[in-house]
Amino acid sequence: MAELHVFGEKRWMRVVLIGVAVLLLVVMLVAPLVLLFAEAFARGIAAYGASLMKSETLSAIGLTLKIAAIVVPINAAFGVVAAWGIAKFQFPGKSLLVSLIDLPISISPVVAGLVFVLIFGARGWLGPTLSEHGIKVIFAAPGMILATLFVTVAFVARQLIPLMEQQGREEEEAAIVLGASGFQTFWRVTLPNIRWGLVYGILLCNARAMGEFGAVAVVSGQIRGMTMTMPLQILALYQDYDSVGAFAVASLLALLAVVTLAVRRFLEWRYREELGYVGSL
Amino acid sequence: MLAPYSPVEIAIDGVGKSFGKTLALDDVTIGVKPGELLALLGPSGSGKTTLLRIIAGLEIAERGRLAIGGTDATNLPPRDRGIGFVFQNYALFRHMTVFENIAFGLRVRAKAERPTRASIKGRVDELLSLIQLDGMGGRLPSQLSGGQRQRVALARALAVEPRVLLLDEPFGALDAKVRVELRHWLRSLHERLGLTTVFVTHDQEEALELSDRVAILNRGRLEQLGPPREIYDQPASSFVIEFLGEVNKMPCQVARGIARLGIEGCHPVAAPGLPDAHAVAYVRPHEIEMSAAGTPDTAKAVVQSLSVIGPRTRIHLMIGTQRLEVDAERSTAEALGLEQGTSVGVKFRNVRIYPATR
Amino acid sequence: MSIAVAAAPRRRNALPGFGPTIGLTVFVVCVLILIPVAGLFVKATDLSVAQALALLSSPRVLAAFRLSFGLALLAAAVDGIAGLLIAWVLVRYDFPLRRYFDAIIDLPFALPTAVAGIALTALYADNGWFGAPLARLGINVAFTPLGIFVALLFIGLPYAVRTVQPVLADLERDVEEAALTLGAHPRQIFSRVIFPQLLPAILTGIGLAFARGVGEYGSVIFIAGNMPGISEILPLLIVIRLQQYDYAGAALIAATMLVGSLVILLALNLFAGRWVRRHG
Repeated sequence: MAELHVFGEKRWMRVVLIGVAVLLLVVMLVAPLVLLFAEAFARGIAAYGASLMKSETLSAIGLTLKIAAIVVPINAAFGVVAAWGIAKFQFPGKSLLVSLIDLPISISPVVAGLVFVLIFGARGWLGPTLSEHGIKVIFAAPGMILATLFVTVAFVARQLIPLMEQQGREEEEAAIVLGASGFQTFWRVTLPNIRWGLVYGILLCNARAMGEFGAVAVVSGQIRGMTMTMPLQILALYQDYDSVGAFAVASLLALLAVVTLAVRRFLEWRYREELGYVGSL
Repeated sequence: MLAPYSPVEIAIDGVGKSFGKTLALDDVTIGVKPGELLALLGPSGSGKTTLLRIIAGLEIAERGRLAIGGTDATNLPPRDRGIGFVFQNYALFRHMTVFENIAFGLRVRAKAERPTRASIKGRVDELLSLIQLDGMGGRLPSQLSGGQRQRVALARALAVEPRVLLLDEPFGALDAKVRVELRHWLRSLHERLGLTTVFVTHDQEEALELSDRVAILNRGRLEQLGPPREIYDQPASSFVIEFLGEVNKMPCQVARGIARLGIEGCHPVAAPGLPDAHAVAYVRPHEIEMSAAGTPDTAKAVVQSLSVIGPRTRIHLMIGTQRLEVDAERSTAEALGLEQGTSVGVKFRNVRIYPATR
Repeated sequence: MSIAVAAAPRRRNALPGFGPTIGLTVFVVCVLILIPVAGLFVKATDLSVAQALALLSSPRVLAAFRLSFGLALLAAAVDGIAGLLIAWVLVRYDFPLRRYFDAIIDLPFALPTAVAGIALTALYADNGWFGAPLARLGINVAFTPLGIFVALLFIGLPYAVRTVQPVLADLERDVEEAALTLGAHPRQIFSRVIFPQLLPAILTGIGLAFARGVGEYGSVIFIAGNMPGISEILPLLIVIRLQQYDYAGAALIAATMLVGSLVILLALNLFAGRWVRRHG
């Protein structure tokens, strides 16, 4: 489909425009990505492997996976529940509720962490009481999970709400009239209709949960080997002048990003009409 | 006419419902007789679909009561009402095959009531042949034509053996030719199965042709309920006469039960019970007789234009400043030698007077 | 029997689950989002008006506000221009690897900010691929405000491209053809026919890129150098306040930042709305 819209501009003009755009993309996006892998493997594959096997780094990878394993299912379930209530019913205050769910996306990650420090921090509202009972939220995993939950809460919901609104409620009504229970209706009719949208939302939610930096940095206290996630570990190694180590961890997350993008593209190409809303966050 | 104590399958008693500030249904009472095919006819926004959804349990009446088969169903969940519902856009489960769609209602039953796998298959195959889609059970809804989808939706509703069948604009999404075919098929199916059936339509021709009785709704109120012929011949209100096909409107004046049209050569019309005031006289285009100009007892009219539509002729006439549409046999128009500018005598065969509405 | 039924509350919805799902949603929104964010504003009021004004008008905080808002706006604006160019080329022309270039636009969405930060820093450091030649020209990028600008440019680019792209793709082709048959030059068609239709989308993209840029932390702290008064961004200032257990000060700066970016977004939206009304 060459030259889709030619509106009379000169050929040299087109070549220049394409050239500038491609140059911009290469300088702004391609170069950083290539550099990541180049730096990670700068001292060879053995050094790359060894730097990933360090215990601190392994524990950071472990904690990242653990947080994602808790946060992503919770937010996926929340997204489905919220989308059902919001998309299938009419009620006053609906758009306000949707904007509130979207709120964390437009808040600075640092502020997302801050709000939980204000509540659970050593000098926060609940922090002192909780620590008397031996419960530690800030500078510990619970705070990091909370902050990650906050930051990614909208990802699945905002994917599913437009999709379910667009699908309407007739199929569900048909199922109910045919005698299906609420659970049967959801399981046999709704879920198959939204599955690819759900997968898409989970994919984006996971990418953000594993990659979140600012919010987690504020609440984690960055205790080595204890409350470090992969993104935090990158900064720590970088400040230690362990370039290969930092880039090795970064390359893993970059790989995750590239795979996320590829799967996302595939879903958009294969199941476009079953995703509802294809857009960016 | 059935006796007043004849059994009623669906009793709609004083039902009312509002959406926010708009009144969707206002005190509607209809008794649907067993085995009857009833049409709910009205323009969009008349409340006909809301009424159908209330019968199905998809909406709940705010006022009034509903009984199906003699038991109170006002607040009963849809699954316990013994109804089959065919949605306007069919609402087929898009990810399920035709077979799975039809079998759905049987498969979601509680274990104790669920038919065996083999008997489900038998039932679905039977329905597939009833809707003339034998061997198409493996297709997805997206691989079917509109008419086929419509029949699958019907089979899916019939699979659970409902005592009442409800259809929302069953032919609304189909093109004209398929629409007429399916209409005849549905009528013969209804005669074969004898199911009490209620369907919603905005197409008066469809309602009049297909149903045993028609309920005409306007702005949430029941305007008239009766057999098609009665509705057409004795419209209960100016809304009904205007809604059921084309009609000429003429201003008139009622005094002591007599309406005068103020057209020379036009007889006064009896208008019993109407107050002395301005009123409107209605005449259908095919209820106007034309004769040679100057025929006694006729009003003088001038042909403005005429067009031939197959065997019939449409003629635009003017009586003074009053515009009239006439529908006549082509032979009549030809016999009178009508063309633009010709004068012609006009006589109204059937005039109905209704109070003027604002 | 019928009396008992009549007395029972009538169901409102045929589909089940409205109460539980909305109940749970409202609960989660309140506990996880509304109360914590409200707490931010409550905490900020711990400070007296005089204290608050003194903090916000201190040179270090003022410099951070200027830096964060100024650079975020500048980067968003440049992204708006670059985004328009890239979207134009992707929608209208075909060239080798076009689909791959289209796909990589989303990289800044998917790439964790820390990863972006370390990559950009290495790229623009004095010994980096781009940093070294620039340093020879006397331009230092990494560890200066220019570095922050580069990071924000990276973070905001997809917003600028992805808001314009669909609008550009949906433009009515026949309007351009009509203009062409009326003898308009390509430049005139662009400025009088195409650009007015794209402007609202461009502004939306700039707004999104700006909102993201003001609060951006991960990618910036690697490359910024973080010199107080020179290359210290607002989110970093919040983190520093927190480390000093000055919760109220951190909350005040955060709340002011939120309100400030909201006001700018509102102004952009108003302008876009006016534009749409005036130009159809």
